Amino acid sequence: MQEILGLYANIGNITWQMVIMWVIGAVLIWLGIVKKMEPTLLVPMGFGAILVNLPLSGAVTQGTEVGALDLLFQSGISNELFLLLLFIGIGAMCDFTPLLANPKMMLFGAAAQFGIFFTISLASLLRFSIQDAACIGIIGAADGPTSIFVGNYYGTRYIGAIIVAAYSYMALVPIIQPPVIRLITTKKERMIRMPYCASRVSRRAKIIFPIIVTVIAGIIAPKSVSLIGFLMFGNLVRECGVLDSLSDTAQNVLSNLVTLLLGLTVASQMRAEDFLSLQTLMIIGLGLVAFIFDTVGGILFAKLMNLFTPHNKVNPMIGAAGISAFPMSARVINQMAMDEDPTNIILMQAVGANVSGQIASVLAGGMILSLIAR
Amino acid sequence: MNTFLFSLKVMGIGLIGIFSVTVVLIIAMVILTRLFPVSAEKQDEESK
Repeated sequence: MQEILGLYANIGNITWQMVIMWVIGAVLIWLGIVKKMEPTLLVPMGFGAILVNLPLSGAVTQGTEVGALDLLFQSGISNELFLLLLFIGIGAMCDFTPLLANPKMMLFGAAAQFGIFFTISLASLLRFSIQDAACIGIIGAADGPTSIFVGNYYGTRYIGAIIVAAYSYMALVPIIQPPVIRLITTKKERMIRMPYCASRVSRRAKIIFPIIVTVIAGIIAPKSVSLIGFLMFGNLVRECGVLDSLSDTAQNVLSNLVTLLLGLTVASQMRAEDFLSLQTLMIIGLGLVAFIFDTVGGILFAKLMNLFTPHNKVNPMIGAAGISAFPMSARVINQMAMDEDPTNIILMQAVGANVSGQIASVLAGGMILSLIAR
Repeated sequence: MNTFLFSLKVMGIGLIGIFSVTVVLIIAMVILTRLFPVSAEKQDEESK
């Protein structure tokens, strides 16, 4: 009898903090399955959050016994392996043709990184260290792997909250951006038409583009070269035309495999003792600020451009597509333009700004790594 | 307060840095599409 009761002794180790983490895990799974918000990441993360918060969970390190998820974290995230592999997949998925056809869209990608830097300042005012503030601000990159990369570089203890915020807000772009856009643009501005010249781009240009981006970004922001290099390598594999099989693997099998492991592994950082704190709530709030001010930065920059080019105005909503959440943001912007005028289609311009956000967010990460010491 | 002031410096330099790289990339893209237009590629393919 004593032995049978002993089997259930671990129940006594359950704490209320663990129960809250189970609820958070269940909410993440629910958001992924029912609301279809980034399910590839939120479902494994939600499950992982429950897994690591079981009493004496063997999935995480207990005393001298190394847990499987901690081992995966050390061998996949601490050394950046998963993230770089994921970047190859993302690069292989990106089609930069709309950007090459209309290079000035790149400016919106740059402007829409404003929220990152605004949030770093705000977080530093809230007494976070400059390194932690940088990790929080990078949530505004709207790019999960970049957020993890920067968070991991500075070894922040808030990595779990930062990743949850980054991926949740990426999925919430269709809810976050429209009210912000409506608040700072007029109906007349939202109805501005942007004629699209479907200028085609040669295959050679598309092949050379990723190499040039890597070289330029590598020279100017050398710390970002592994991020941008792997992203552009993936794109080169896609565009070269002789590695279709590798491109297909990178876009599907590799990305899926890494995402699967990434979600579970990241959850190892969601232990109740680290996750349940006032700072986590502040990080969730600051992440939202970062996304909002990214949107504001992009739109205000577009409005500024319109002051100088009154005869060739851009629809300021395009500026909001400069965030890295691809292709969600481009779709949202196009839908908003069509809501105002069903014949006004600005999808290709929005896609151009959106893919430029992919490059700019990685550059922003590189800039932060260069400017803020570990 | 020092951290905040430093963060403002990071904001200034960071944004200028991103825009400067962006301008260089735009120039590179314009040169690239001029050097390798679609028409030249078609001619090459036809001559083969």
